[in-house]
Amino acid sequence: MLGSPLLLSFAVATLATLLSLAVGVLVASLLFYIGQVGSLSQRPARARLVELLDALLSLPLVLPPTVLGYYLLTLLGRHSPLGRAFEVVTGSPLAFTPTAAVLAAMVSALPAIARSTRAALCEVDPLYFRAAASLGASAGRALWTVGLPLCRRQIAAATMLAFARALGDFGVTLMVAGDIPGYTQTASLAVYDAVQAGREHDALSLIVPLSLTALCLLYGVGRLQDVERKR
Amino acid sequence: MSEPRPTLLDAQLSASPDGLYRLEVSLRLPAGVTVLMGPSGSGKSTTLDLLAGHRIPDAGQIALGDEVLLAKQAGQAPSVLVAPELRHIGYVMQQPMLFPHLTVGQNLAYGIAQLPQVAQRARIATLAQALQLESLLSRRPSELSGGQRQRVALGRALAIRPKALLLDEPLSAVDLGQRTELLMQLRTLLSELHIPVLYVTHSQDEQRFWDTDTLTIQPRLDAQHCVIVGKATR
Repeated sequence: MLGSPLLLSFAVATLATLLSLAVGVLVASLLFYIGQVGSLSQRPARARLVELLDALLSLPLVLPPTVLGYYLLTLLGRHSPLGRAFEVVTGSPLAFTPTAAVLAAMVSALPAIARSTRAALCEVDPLYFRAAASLGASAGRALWTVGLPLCRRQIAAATMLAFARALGDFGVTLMVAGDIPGYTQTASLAVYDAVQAGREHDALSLIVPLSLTALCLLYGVGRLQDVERKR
Repeated sequence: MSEPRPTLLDAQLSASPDGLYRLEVSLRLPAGVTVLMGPSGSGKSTTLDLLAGHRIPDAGQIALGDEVLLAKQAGQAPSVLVAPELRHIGYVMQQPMLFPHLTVGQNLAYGIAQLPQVAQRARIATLAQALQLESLLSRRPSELSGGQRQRVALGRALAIRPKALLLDEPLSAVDLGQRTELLMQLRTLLSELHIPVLYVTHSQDEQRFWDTDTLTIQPRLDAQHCVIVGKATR
């Protein structure tokens, strides 16, 4: 069904982006909330904790894919608690499956969304949160009904970028999902194989759609940022 | 129906906003409007933030009716600290801060989302009529004039039926021509409420309009202290 590398790539990137959106917005909201509470009760320890968590969240953006792949394999492999639990529940190992490819794609997509969302929340005028609180809204409700909706363009732009990153992942996917043609071979891996084997035509048939998709996404992100600037 | 018992807003606070100077507040506000005046930077808005719960003083206490909202001794964690969202204190800021992604109607309903739809609509209809917002309910805040925005902010704060109301220079974002009209509407609305209202302004005209108790922030000579002492006496 997902035999074509391009189809597999789009399916994996879509799933990874949706999961990253849900988890990333949640993580960003939590970090933002912890930071806010810290500032009101004047506990600098909270602020330092948030900075540390933020740095941890940013690690995947700077570490080599091989290092990230190693961590993920350690986390998901057949000898890890998570990998074993997955194998018990589903009957098959987690590493070197399309599911592992989704997780690999999330490694870069999730931090991108979480960081952008948190940055956007920090840019929201705090008086909006005060107004919501004076109307009886809990911090959680104020975030969900005011903070996040006010960041919707930035979140949409971050999600599009995250999809582009997920689509383009090579190293982490290779490490944890392998390069199994017709099973876990995504488009970026298939390009590598095709070029190595001198099948230039095959490579181009993947390179062109990948490039066009990325171009469209970046153009869309630019348009969104333009709208945001003019507000 | 019996008249609700008027609540008293009682506060003794000591704070050092941004470590710049010391602000001493001693307030006892009965139902009705009390005007708070003082030069810019003397701590008017800080006082409102303290009462609303957006700032924690170094020491002091706040009580609204029978409920203690804050009790704190210097150098200790507060022994009582009610979060802003649980204080039932309406707060209209200098800027209306309407939620730009919601319509006027949705802004008015924001604080009463827990009520049944019918009750929400009834309350919004009453407020919209009193504040002449009926034709604007489906508009976005960006399509409103300054006066209209401030009326929505006022309606939104009143919709929750607050036990006290803080108004921080509510006319500052309103065109001069619309100010008198808004003041009249405000007076009518507030005269029907039996809650303490603290009205911050630096305008002598607005102070004269309210013709009521006025508290003044007195910067002391050394300019390191600002003191509000006031027992409104109606």
